[in-house]
Amino acid sequence: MSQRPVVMGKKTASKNVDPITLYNFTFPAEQLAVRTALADIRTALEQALLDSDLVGRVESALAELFNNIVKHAYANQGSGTLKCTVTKTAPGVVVNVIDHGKAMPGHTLPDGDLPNLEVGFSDLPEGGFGWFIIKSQTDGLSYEREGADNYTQLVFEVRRNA
Amino acid sequence: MELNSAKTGEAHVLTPIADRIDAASAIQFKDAIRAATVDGPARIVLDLGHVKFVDSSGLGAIVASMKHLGAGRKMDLAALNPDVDKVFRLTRMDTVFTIYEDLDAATGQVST
Repeated sequence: MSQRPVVMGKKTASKNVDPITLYNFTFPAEQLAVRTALADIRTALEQALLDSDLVGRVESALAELFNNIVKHAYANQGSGTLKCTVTKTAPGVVVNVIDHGKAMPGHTLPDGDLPNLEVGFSDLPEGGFGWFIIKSQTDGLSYEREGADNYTQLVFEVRRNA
Repeated sequence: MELNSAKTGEAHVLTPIADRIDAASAIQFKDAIRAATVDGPARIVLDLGHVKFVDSSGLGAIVASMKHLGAGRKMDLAALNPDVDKVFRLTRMDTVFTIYEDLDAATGQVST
């Protein structure tokens, strides 16, 4: 990820400094720990005075990613961990997530298409929204498998018309 | 999951007393709604006024609860906060559910 300097907002110093780390923790890959992490990340983003649309998108996308990792990457592997780093950059926020679970099938991200809603009542989808939500809430998304680790990066920029 | 229940006119208003309907609480949500709707009015209004966050598991649980009611009954939604509303619009679930701005609109049958 690029580490170019960022001009700070007027609440802080006016000189150029490195991107600011807002959150950097490793937590157990289980649902209640995910909840706590999401709450802590929301607090960190709010304290950094990021706009509420951006905060909402980060929470939504990370909830889906973390739950996917808990359910799919770590399924049947017992307990695992998730490392998440949230960095404030000039255009918004960059989030790096590392897990040691199974690789994404084909070592690529899913298409993330919206499930078909033009179906009968009893066939309405009860899932399959996760990657669609992640893709639509992010402005950049990448995934790499390296050794036994999954590296996922999500980029969020302030959307002016949000 | 704690659920407040009130009969208002022809509707059964169910209000989850929860911050989040998410992966960690989706099953409890479904169980609570099922238990509360075994019988009673054909129209359910799910009042999401306390809920600040819904993820795809929560969304799935709301759809599953609506489907469980059967095609002869109806589940409408009311009082979605901006983040929750966004999830419904993004996933086009706002085309599946009738969404009311608040409980008064939902029970007064005035669509927003």
